[in-house]
Amino acid sequence: MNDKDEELIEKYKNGEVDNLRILIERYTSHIYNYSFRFVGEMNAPDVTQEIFIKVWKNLKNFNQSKSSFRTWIFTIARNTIIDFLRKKKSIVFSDLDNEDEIFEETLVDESSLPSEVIKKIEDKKILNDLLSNLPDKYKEVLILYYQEEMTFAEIGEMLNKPLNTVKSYHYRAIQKLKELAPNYYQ
Amino acid sequence: MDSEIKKIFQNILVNPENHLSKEIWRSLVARENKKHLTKTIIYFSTVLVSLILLVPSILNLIDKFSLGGFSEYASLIFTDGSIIITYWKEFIFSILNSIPLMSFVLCSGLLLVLFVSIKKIIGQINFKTLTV
Repeated sequence: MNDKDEELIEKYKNGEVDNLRILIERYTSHIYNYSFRFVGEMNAPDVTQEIFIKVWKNLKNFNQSKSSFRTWIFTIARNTIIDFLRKKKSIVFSDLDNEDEIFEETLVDESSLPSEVIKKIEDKKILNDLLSNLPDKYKEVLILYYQEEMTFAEIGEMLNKPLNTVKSYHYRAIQKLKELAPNYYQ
Repeated sequence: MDSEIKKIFQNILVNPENHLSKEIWRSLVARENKKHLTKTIIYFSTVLVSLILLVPSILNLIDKFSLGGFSEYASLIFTDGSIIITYWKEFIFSILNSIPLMSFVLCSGLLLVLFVSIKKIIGQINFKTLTV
């Protein structure tokens, strides 16, 4: 049960099919939470299921020398969510791409939240509300960095963006939180 | 600072319904079983069709071999070896000429399809499917 993801996949590929079940149990909550933020509570279970079906279909092609399983499964999750949102004609992740290219090289990651903002986001309702008011791509970086505890490099690999772009998304997300938080009263 | 925000973000994690991972697993099992059955049916049908086609094509091949005089040329190997040694070039040319190439290719192709399908069926039988 404590095997690494890549070991489980190797065993699955060698015919020990039950290892796939362990992987599913290990990642269901993570993928559900990620989906939940973009497609909502109603659609999250179906989208999560669709993501795992894609994982199962493509698992034989997974190459651990190219990326970690975690990055790989989140990339599949992201693409599935984008497809879902496109079908629903909702907002897509990349609505501010051009603007970011201008700033990506000049921004450094000096993002921190003042203590009064931190106090406010300790309130679950406020944080949920703030996140739902953030543009998808900023929200995505915050979720992956703080909730999934991915590194900026892993997020960059997943989003197929340079490290500085990811850092600039993070910086802007934090700025946006700082900007929006004072509007909430505890 | 980062760890503090990480802790706050962990607080807003939503718990999926308990049976979600079981449901996902069940859906994968159902899909795999369907895929497995479809493949088995396809391979089994291929074996049947190639077997049915193989019978007339083998009969046709035997027929063409005897019409082309292949057996007469081949029997020379055992009866008069010295002629073959003397006229080996002509002998090879004549024996090759007596082989019905199209029928031979058709027959070999069908045999290949038959063996590959049988191999695939054995693979399907040994394949470990997901179970609930």
